[in-house]
Amino acid sequence: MTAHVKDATTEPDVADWHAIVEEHSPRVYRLAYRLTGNRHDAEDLTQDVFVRVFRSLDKYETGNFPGWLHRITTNLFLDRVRRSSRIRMDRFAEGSEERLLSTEIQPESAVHDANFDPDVEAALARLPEEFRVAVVLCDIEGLSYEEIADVLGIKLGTVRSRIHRGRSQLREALAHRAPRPGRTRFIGPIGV
Amino acid sequence: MPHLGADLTAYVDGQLSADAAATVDAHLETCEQCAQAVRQQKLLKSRISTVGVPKPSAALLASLTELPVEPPAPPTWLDRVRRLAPVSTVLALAGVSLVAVAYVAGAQAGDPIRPPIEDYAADFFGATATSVSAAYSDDAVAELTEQGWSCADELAGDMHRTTTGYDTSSGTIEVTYTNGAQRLRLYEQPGTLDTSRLDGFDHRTVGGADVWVSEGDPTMLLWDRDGVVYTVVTDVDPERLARAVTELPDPETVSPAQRIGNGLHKMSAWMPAA
Repeated sequence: MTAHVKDATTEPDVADWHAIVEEHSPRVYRLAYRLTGNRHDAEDLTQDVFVRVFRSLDKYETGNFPGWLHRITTNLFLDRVRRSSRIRMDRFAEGSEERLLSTEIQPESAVHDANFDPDVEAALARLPEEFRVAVVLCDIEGLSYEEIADVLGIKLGTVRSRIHRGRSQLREALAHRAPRPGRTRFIGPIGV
Repeated sequence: MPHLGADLTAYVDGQLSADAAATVDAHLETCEQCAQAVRQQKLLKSRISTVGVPKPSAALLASLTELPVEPPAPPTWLDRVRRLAPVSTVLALAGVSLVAVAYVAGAQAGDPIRPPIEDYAADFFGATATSVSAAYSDDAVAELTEQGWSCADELAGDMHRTTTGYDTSSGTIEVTYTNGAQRLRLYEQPGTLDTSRLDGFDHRTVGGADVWVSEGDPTMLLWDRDGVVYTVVTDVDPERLARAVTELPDPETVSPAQRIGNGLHKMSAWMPAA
């Protein structure tokens, strides 16, 4: 029997769980959103992550909790990608903006950050999943190559080459959509 | 040195060794082409890293915080023994043989309850069809089934399970079945059936089982088994209803001797773990 959190009848454990959800769900959701590219799948993935966390809390040994969450999130994401065609990059080929604002979205989440950038969203979404995971962990989660290698269970050289190739593809994808005067962007042109 | 090539990315990410980074720095002094590539990649990195992410919805947060709301394990013979406070005190002191005796003595124990059948009937046709406070995923339903709650995917041939929920306030599992035209709702609640307060119900046999029946709109059936009270609220025809009842846990029919046997069997499974 798992002593910690598992038992819903004892108040402190439930309180602990609430604290865990409150503290970590925005990060997990952010990563899930960057990986899946849309809110619906991000919510599904976040839910799966916390179910896994909840069931494995007793196995978690003190250490790097955020790192543990990264690992669970990315592994579940890659599992899903491998197992089903539900999360496919080709879905983003057209109408990705529409998809992002689809009706199943809760109204309170419909307000975007000022930095919402559909071009970057679409470019990230078109990256092969392995490249995307590496780039997202590096650029958005701020992990070192070594940490990424650890989370994904791959070699350092592989991390390096995936990020390199991923960023090259992003640069190409964004080159012809470089912001021009009149288009709202937060930052200047990318590419030549 | 030659142009940066694949080192460019690692340089921008600050992942080169100090020596390698110094070499690149020196190269950038003299190579405008590489310097421009570095600037571009830094811009790209900053553009990616600052891109916004929508906030998680309140609904998502709520569903995450509710994860610990798990169903209670169905009451077993052991729970029923435990409910007899004086006996369980004896239990703590005595050995296995006393457990068996206590089990027999406590077989009919358990809190007598009368399910809120009027509410169930109203809910059956009401707009807010359910008082369920937590709905279960398929995974959770599998777990419930494993724990001994009855929530099969299908019932009476063509009735399919649509929703499974748990009312935290009363500890009641609620399972809804439909075949498109007719519905059947099953409630499972820990306790024993208080038959003294069942006005309008007849005690008779349905699907080979002795149950309490109130025919009408909807028809309701009540019985208990192993410390769980089952309530069926439905508008299905009598044939389907009889079939459904045969597929659900029967009212207690085993003989006391068998019960002792079962108890000892369960106990032997339980004792080494204790």
